[in-house]
Amino acid sequence: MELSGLPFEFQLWFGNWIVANCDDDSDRNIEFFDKMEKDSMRLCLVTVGATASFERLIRQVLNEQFCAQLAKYDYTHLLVQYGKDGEDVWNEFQKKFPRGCERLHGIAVAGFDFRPNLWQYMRLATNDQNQKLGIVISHAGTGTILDALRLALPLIIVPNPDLADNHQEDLAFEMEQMKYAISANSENVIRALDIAEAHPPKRLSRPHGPDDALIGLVTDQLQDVD
Amino acid sequence: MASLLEVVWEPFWKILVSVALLGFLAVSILLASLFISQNVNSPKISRHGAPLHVLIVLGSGGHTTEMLYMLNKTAFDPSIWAYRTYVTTSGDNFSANKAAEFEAKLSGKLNDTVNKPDLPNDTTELFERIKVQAENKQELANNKLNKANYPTSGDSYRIIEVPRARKVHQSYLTAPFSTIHCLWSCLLVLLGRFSGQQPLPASYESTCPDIILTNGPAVAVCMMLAAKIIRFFIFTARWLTGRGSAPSVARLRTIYVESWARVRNLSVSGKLLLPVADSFIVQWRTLEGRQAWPGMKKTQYKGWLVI
Repeated sequence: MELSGLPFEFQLWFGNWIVANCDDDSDRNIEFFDKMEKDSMRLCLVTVGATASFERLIRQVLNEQFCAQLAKYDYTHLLVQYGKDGEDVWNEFQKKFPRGCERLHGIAVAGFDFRPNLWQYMRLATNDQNQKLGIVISHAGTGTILDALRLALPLIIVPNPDLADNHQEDLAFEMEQMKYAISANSENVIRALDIAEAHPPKRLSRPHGPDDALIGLVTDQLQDVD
Repeated sequence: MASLLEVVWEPFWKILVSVALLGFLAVSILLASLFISQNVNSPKISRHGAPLHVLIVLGSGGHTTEMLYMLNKTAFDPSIWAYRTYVTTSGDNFSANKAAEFEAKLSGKLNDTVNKPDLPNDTTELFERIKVQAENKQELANNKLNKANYPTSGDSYRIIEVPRARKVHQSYLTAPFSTIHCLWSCLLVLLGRFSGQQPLPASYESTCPDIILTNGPAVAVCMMLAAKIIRFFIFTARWLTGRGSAPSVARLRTIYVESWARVRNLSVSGKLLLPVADSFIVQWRTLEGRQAWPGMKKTQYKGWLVI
């Protein structure tokens, strides 16, 4: 990671920017980026989306047991987008495991509530330069799944059981059938991580459908005859 | 002397029968026009290479994201899809910003391939970009407040904001009224009479778009119904005046792309629009071949359009 040339203010700014809503814990984020600079980074990104709260998934990853498992597989960083109503869990976690706490097995943890664009963070989990290929653990949000496919990132999909409509579970099931992702529920995230390490999901190397499908549809509609 | 009941009964059943007959007639006309509309081909006119006016409906976050993935993937020729009208709902600056961002990219890279995802080549560049964003505090504040920070119209596009069909947490009692308000706004947009709407360039003969492209938000239902209502009146007027049922140019053709997230069941918007859309696209084989009722158009599968 080529961060050494950049001034310290930037790192601080970057830190604050990532957790603009909790300025008091910028220390934790400095730690996160310091570590990014020193080590060859392997990131686990957890995201729950903006619209619904998904406290159960957040609680599953913000604990000692999960960090131990991450450490076992040489992960170095855990970045959590905790979303709506997740701030309490995040603050609780911060109190329980202050910065530099050894019980986190050396995993640097940072969190933020929501950003309009997550791909920048997902990008940190790819294996270009000296980072190692990380993993994305996500609710079944379409945008996140598509971004992970586009960046060829291993993906664990955890559908939110609190949502009335079950179409997310259909999607997760289908993605697992196609071996593009691992489907899990919020109770067995650790097991899903084990599976992902043993049998990494398939990576989408090229676009899935034809590029001109939309153009063809429009042409059909206008009954274009030459 | 006739009892009160008899006095009331006589007009009451007459009204009842007339209402029933009128209702039956209305439903028959509705079903017949939906059937005709999905089974009669638009006229075969060569419009090869002619500039088109495409209307793109952007809804809430997820729908907007999917629509932009589709547009990014489609390497369309901006000289053929010559004018783009984006419709967003009030207060949804995320969609408006995304549309303007897409247009900015399109105009900056007209000769370049526009279907490549907007990603920097390496992480250093990524950090540079995040740094620039962080330094621009105003932009950051705008992002946080989700304010519009792009122009809402240009030479070849405009972004129109219509009222929402139903706000989040809005009561179901008042929802029909706001839906009618939304439908009315969509009608005005299609007719070019919506307040504050940027007028089309003079070279376009009609205010109506040639193609309407949607993927499922509530406003899409209103927009497609509005298009059908206008087409119904054009059709009826031509038929009554004996000028034949087919207009000389096919406009207001509707394309509905079901959300990629829908694997086994159509969404509510999808179910509503299945008998309405001219072209109904699904992105999973399991949904291929569905139709509203026998004799109507079937859904088509064309692979994934979003990636």
